[in-house]
Amino acid sequence: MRRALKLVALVACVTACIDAGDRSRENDDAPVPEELRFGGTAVVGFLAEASSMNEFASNDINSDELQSYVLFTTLVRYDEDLQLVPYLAESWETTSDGEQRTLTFHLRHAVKWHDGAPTTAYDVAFTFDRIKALGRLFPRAASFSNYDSAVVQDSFTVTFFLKPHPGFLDPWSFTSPMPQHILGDVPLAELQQDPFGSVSPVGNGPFRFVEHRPGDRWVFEATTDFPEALGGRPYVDRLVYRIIPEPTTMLAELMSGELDVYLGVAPSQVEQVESSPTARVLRYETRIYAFINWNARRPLFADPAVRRALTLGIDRERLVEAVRYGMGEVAYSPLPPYHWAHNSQLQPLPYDPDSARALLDAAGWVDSDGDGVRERDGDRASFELITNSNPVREDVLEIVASDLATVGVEVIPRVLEAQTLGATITGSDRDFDAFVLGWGPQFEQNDRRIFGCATPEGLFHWAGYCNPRVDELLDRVASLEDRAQALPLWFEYQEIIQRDQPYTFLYYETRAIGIKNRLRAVEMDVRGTLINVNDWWIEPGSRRQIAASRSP
Amino acid sequence: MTSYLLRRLLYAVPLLWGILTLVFFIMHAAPGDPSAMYLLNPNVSQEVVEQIRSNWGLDEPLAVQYWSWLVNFASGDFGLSLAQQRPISAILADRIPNTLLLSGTALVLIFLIGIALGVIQAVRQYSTLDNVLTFGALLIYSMPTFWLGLMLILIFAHLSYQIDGWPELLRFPASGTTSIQYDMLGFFGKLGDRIHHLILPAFALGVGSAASVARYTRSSMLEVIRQDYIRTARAKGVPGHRVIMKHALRNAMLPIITLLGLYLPFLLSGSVLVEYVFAWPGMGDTIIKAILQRDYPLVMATSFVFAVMVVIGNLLADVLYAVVDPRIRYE
Repeated sequence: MRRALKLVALVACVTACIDAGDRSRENDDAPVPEELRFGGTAVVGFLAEASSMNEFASNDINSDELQSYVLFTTLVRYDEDLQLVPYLAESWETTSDGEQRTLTFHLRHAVKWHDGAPTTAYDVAFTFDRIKALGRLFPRAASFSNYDSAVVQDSFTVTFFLKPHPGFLDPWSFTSPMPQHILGDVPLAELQQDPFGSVSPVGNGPFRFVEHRPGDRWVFEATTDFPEALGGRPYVDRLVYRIIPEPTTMLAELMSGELDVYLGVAPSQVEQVESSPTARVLRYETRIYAFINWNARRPLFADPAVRRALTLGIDRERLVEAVRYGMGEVAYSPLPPYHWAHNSQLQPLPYDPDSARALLDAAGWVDSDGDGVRERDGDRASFELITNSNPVREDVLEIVASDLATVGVEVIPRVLEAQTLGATITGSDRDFDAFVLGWGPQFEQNDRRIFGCATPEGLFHWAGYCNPRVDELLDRVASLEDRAQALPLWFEYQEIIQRDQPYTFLYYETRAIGIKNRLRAVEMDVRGTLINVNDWWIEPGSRRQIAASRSP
Repeated sequence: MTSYLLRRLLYAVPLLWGILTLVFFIMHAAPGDPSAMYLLNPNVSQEVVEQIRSNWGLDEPLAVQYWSWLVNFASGDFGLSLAQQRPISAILADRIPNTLLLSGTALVLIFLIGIALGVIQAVRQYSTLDNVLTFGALLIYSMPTFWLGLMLILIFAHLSYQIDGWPELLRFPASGTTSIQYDMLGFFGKLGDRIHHLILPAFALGVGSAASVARYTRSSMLEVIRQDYIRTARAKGVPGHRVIMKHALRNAMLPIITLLGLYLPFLLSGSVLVEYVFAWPGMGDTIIKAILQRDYPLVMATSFVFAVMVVIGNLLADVLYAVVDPRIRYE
C-alpha cells in the first residue's frame, strides 16, 4: 500500500517537479530587486538544543554559532579564505616589545545593544576581565592563556597586553563582547547561571532576541537599524531555530515546508532531499575528521609497522562510499585540507591488503594454527574496536572488521553509550584497544595534547604515542608567528604522523544541509552554518502566510 | 476519606525516598559523570574539566554527595541543572505542563475510545464488527509506540503533503507544540493550532492502550450484561440503550478504573519516546537528555516528578473506586 502511494506521489511529481526545477533555476539568474528581498520567516531545524546565549557559560557549537553570527558581533571574523577581517572592530594595530605585545582594537561607533545603549570598549574589557576571573570555569579558558590584561583607552579603543603567539587574534573570532550595563553587577559566582543566557539575552548583532522555549525553539527578529558597515539589516524578518532530535521527523518537516533549513541531513537521507522538487542539498566541508585511535600501550599496536599495516588493510574509499554515501574525503593528516599548513604533497596510504599481510608477517604476527587470526608469542591479533552509538560509526566498525579479517586480524566491534565511551578512553588506566571517533579542532590547532609525549598524560593522549621529534616540531610551531617559517615544520610533522600512524585517519567529513528552494543565497563552509545569515532571503511569493488552513 | 488520603500520602514519603535513593546510586554507578559532556570536546582543555569536577563536588566521596543532595532535596531545593546552567525549578515549570497536556489528552483518548469500542463490541458480540475491531485492537496493541509514531509522521506529516487531493484535514505537523506563526494567530486560531499539533503524538501515545482498554471493557461488559438484574431491567421495559449505558456500564467500569492507575506510569514512560519522535518539549525529552549528559540533579528532579505522578495516579484510581462502587468505603 505504501509502495503504491509512493508511486502515485512519484508520478504526480514527475510533471510538477520538472516544472518547479526549471523555474527555480531560472530564478537564480533572474534578479529579484533588492527591496523585494526583505521579509518572511526563515526556520532552521537543529538536532540539538543551543544551551545558552550567555557566552560565559555555553559550550556547544550551536550556541557558539548563534552567538557569533546572530545575536552578537565578534571583533574580527574569518573571510572565505580564512583570513581575519575587521567586524565589530574597525581596525587594530599591534606593537611589540620583546616578550610583551600590545594589541589595540578600534571599535565601530554605530553598533548598539538592542536596548539602545552603545557597544563600547568597556564592554570588551568587561568581557575579557570576566573570562579571566572565571579562569578554568570558562570552558574555552585556554584560548586566552597568553593574554594578560586589558586597558580601555577611550570609549571605542581598547588595548590588550599579551605574550606573542601565533594566531593571537583567533580568540576574538569566536568571542563576542557581552553587555556590561546588563551583566556588570552580576556576582562572578552567579554569572554562568544568570537568566540572561536563556530568558532575557540582549545582544548587538543582526538579530534581536524574541523568545526561547527550551527544548523547542529560539526566536530572533531582524535588527532594523543594524549598521551597513556590518552587513546592514538582514533580509528575513524573523529567524526561528527549532530543535527536533529525530532525523525522520526533521525530514518530514522539511518536506512539508515547516522548515526552511535542515542542518545535518543524515547521509542516508541525502538522496531523498535531492529528489524533492522543492528542496535542495548544500554540501560543505567541515572541520571534523573521523579516525581510529590505536592504543599503543597494547602489544598489538606498539609497532608503527603494524599500525601502518592496519591502515593499508582498510579500504577507506569504499568506507566513505558505504557509510557516508560519498560525503567525505579519505583523510591522512591531522591538519584537514582547509588548514593553511595542510600537506597536500602527501597521499593517503592506499588500500593494499597484500602489503598489509607482508608487514604483519615481517613484524612477527603469523597465523601458525590456521584459525585465520595471526599470533605472536601467544598474543592473538584480536582486538575490540569501540565507538559511541551513532549509526554511521556503527557501520564503520562493521566495515573495518570485515576488511581486517581478510588480513588475519580479528576485530570485535562494540558500541558504547557516548559518556561511557568518554569515560573509558580518557580514564587513567586507558582500558581499551582501539576506538572510532570524530574530532573537530578550532582553526588554531594544538596537537600537543593529542600526539605529544606527556607525563602525566592528558585526557586526549589516548593513542599513547610519543616521538621526541614530533614534540620538538609542535613546540616550535606553537611559538613561530611567521607562517613561512612554520610551514616546513608543519609539513615534517604531518610526514612523521603519516609514517607512524598513531591514528588511522578515516575521512574528512562533508556535511549535507537540506534547504527549501524558496530560501536563497544560503552559504556554508568550514567556518560554520550561519556565516551569511544576513544575506538569506525568501522568494516574495512563497513566504509563510498566517494560514487559516493549518488549523483543523 | 480524608484521613485515608492523608495516610496514603504519608506512606508515599518513604516510598519516594526509596525510589530516589535507588536512582541516585544507579546514576552514580553508571560510567562517566557530568563533566563528561566537556570531555570529548576538542576546544575544552583538561584543566577546565578538572576544575569543573571539583566545582560541582564530583570528587567528593559518594556518601558526602548523597547527603548533600538529600539535605537540599528535602528542603525543596532541586538545585541547578549542570548541563543547562538553569534552576531546575524553572526547567520543570517549562516542561511539566507540556507533558501533562500530552499524557492527559492521551489518557482521555484511551478511555473514551477504549470504552466506546468495548461497549459496542460487547453489545454486538461475534458480529463482523466485533471481529474486525478485535483484530484491529490486537494489531495496534502489538505496535511499539516509537515505531507507530514514526509511521504516523511518515504518512500524515510527510506523504500527506506530497499527494495532491489528500484531505487538508488529515495533514498534520510532524513536531512541536505550536506552529511558527502561532503568536500571530487569534484565540481560536491558537487553540486550533495547539489541537492540531496534539493529535498525532496523543494518538501515538494512547492508541495502544485504548486497544487494551477496549478488550477489558468488552469482557467486563459481557460478564455484566448476562446478569439477572440486567435481564430484570430489560423485562420491566427499560429502553435498551439505557440498560447498557446506565445499568450495565457503571458496574462494568470497576475493573477498568484499576487500569487508570496502571496506565499512568505506562503513559509517562511511553511519553519519553513519543516526545523524542515528535520533538515535544516535555519531561520525557528532559529526562533522556539528563541521563545521557549525566546531569545528576536534573535526573533526580525528573525522577521525583515521575514518581509523584505515579503515586498520584494510583491514589486517584483508588478514590474513583469509591465513587463508582458505593460498597467501597475508605476509613
